[in-house]
Amino acid sequence: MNTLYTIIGLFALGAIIGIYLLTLVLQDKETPKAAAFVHGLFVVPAVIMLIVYITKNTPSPVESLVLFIIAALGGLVLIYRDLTGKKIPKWLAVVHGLAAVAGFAFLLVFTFGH
Amino acid sequence: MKKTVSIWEATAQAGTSFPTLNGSKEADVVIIGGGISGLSTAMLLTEAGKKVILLEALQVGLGTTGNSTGNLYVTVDEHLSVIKKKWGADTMKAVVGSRTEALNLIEATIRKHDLDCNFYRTSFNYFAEGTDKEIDAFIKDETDALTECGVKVNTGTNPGLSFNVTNSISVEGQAQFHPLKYIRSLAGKLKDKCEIYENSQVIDFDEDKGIVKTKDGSVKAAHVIMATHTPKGVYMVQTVLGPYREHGVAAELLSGDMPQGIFWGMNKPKHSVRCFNDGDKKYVMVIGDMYKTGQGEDTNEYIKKLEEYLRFRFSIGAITHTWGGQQYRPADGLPYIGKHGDAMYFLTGFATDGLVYGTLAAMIVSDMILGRKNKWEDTYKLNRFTPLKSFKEFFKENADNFVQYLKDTPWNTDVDTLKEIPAGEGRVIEKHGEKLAVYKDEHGVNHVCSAVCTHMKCIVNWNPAEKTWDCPCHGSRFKTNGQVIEGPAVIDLPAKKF
Ligand SMILES: Cc1cc2nc3c(=O)[nH]c(=O)nc-3n(C[C@H](O)[C@H](O)[C@H](O)COP(=O)(O)OP(=O)(O)OC[C@H]3O[C@@H](n4cnc5c(N)ncnc54)[C@H](O)[C@@H]3O)c2cc1C
Ligand code: FES
Repeated sequence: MNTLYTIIGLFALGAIIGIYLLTLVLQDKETPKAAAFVHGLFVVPAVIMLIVYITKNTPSPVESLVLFIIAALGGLVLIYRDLTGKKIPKWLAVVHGLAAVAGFAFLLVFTFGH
Repeated sequence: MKKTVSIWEATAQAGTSFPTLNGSKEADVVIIGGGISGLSTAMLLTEAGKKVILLEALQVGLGTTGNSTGNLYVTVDEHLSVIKKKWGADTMKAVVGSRTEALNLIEATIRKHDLDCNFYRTSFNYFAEGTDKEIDAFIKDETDALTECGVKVNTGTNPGLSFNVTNSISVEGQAQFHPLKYIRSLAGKLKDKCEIYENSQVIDFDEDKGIVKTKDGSVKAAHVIMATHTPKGVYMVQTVLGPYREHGVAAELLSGDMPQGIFWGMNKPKHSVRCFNDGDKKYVMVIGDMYKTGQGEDTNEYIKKLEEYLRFRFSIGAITHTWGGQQYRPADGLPYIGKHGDAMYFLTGFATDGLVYGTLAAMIVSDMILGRKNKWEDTYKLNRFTPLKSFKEFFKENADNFVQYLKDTPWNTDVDTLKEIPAGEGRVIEKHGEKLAVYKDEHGVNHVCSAVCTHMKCIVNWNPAEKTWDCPCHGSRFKTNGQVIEGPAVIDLPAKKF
C-alpha cells in the first residue's frame, strides 16, 4: 500500500504543475521550462513505480497504467513540439491532461476502494 | 569611444549596397550567408560555371568575419598537440595540410583579383609571460606537433614584443589581412558573375525541395548551402557545438612598437594581440577572454579587462574601437562540413580558426557539388559519430543547456517592475506568467519583446556591452527590437505589449 501512496503523491504533485502548464498553453503563452521538466520529474518515476507495482501484485490498476502511458506519450509529443518551436495543439494538451486525470481517478478508486 | 564597431568596419572601404531579394528566382546553388564561407563558396562555384544566388541577412562581411582578428595560420585554436592526442598524427597532418591549401587559396584569390585588403605573409607566435609546468609541457608538445607536420619552428624568448616575454614558439610563412576589406572587395569582383542580395534574411526553407524564403522573395535551387556560421534551425549538430563570445579592443599606439605578426598568449585566459596600420595611424588590438554566449556576468567587464591588458603592455591613447564576435567550438575539435539530407550543406564548428576553415569548407563543399572528390572531405565530414572524442564537451554543453532550462522558473526574473530598469539597459521581467525582454532606451521608452528564444525556448539574457539579447543555450542573439542577429534562431523574438 505504501508504494501506491507514494505513486499517488507523485502524481498529485505532477498534476498541480500540469494544471498550471495547461492554463498557460490554453492562453497561447510560453510555459516556464523548469516547470515542464519538474512536472516530468514527478510523473516519470510515478509511472515507473506503477509498472513495477503492477508486475508484482494482483489485482493491480492496469487501466490506470494504460491511461498514464497514453498521457506520457502525449507529454513527450508536447515537450518535443514545444522545444523545437512547433505549435502545440491545444487539443493534445487537453487530451494529455484528461488521460492523466482519468488514470489518477482509476488509481484512487483502486487504492481506496479496496 | 566608439561602441561595438570593429576596427575592420571602421577602417574598411565604403560598405556594399547589393539589392534586396524580391520575387521568385531559380539557381543551381543558393548560399545563405555572406561571410568568408559563403563568399568563398560563391567564388569557387561561379568559377566552375554554376548559377549562384547568395542571400545575406545584413551586409556581406558584417557577421563574424568582420569581427575577427584577421589572422591566417595553419595551426588551430584547439592546438595541434591536442588534435594529435584526440585524433592521431595522420588527422593532425591533414589539418595542417588542408589549412595550408586554404591559406594559399586566400592569397591566390587576392593576387588574381588584385584585392586591396592589407594582406602580407608574417609569423605566427605563441608567447608566455612567465612560465610554469603546464606552459613548459605545452611548448614541448606543440613544438613537437608542428615539427611532425613539417612546419619549421623556432623556440626562444621574446619574438620582438615590447613587453616582458619569457618563452615563445614562432612559425614563419603565416599571414594577416583586413578581413572586411577582403570580403567587400571579393563581393565586388563577384557581383557580375553571381547574384548577391543583402538585407535578405532567410526566414523559412524547405530542405527537401531546395526552396529558401525571405520576406519578399524566394529561391529554388538544387543545392542549399548554410554558410550562416551555425546552421539555422534545430539540428543534431547543435548538440556538439559550444557557442562562445570574445571581445576585441583597439587603440592607437602612442609610442613604442608592436611588430607585425600573429601573437597568441600561452597564459590563461588566452589573448590574441596584433597591430594594424591604417595610413599613418598604428593601432594595437587585443581579442580574448572568451565566455559562453549569454552567460557573461557583465560583458562591459570583459572590455574593461581587455583595455587594462593593453594599457599594461603598451603606451596607447583612448580606446578607439570595441567589438564582440562569436565562435562555435566543435566537441571533438574539428569542424563539421558536408551534406545534410538531399539538398543542404552545413559549414560549421570553426572555433576561432574560421577565416581559413571557412575557405577550406568552401573548397570541400564546392567540390561535393561539382562531383569531385575532395581529399579533405572525410577528415571534416558532417555526419561523423565520435562519442569518445566528443563526450566531455558534449556533456558539458548539454548539461549546461539543461541547467539553463531549469533556471526558467515562474519567479526567476531580473526585476519586478519597469522602474527598476536603468535607461540604456535591458532586463527580463514577468507579466501575466510570460517572460518579457524589456529594453529601456536613453529616452526612457520601453521596447518589449518575448524573452523566450525562438530556437529552443531558453530565456535570453541582457548583454550590456553590445546592447543585445543573447541566448545562453546555443548562442542566438537578438537586437533590442527582437530581430535575429546570429545563431541558430530563424525567427525574431515576437514584439509584446507590457
Ligand atoms: C573574436 C574572434 C576572432 C576571430 N579571429 C579569427 C582569426 O584571426 N583567424 C581565423 O581564421 N578565424 C578567426 N575567427 C573565426 C572566424 O572569424 C569565423 O569562424 C569566420 O569568420 C566564420 O565565417 P562564416 O562565413 O562561416 O560566418 P560569418 O562571417 O558569421 O557569416 C555568416 C553570415 O550569414 C549571415 N546570416 C545569418 N543568418 C542568415 C539568414 N537567416 N539569412 C541570410 N543570411 C544570414 C550573417 O549575417 C553573416 O553575414 C575569429 C572569431 C572570433 C569570434
Ligand atoms: S539558441 Fe537555442 S534555445 Fe536559444
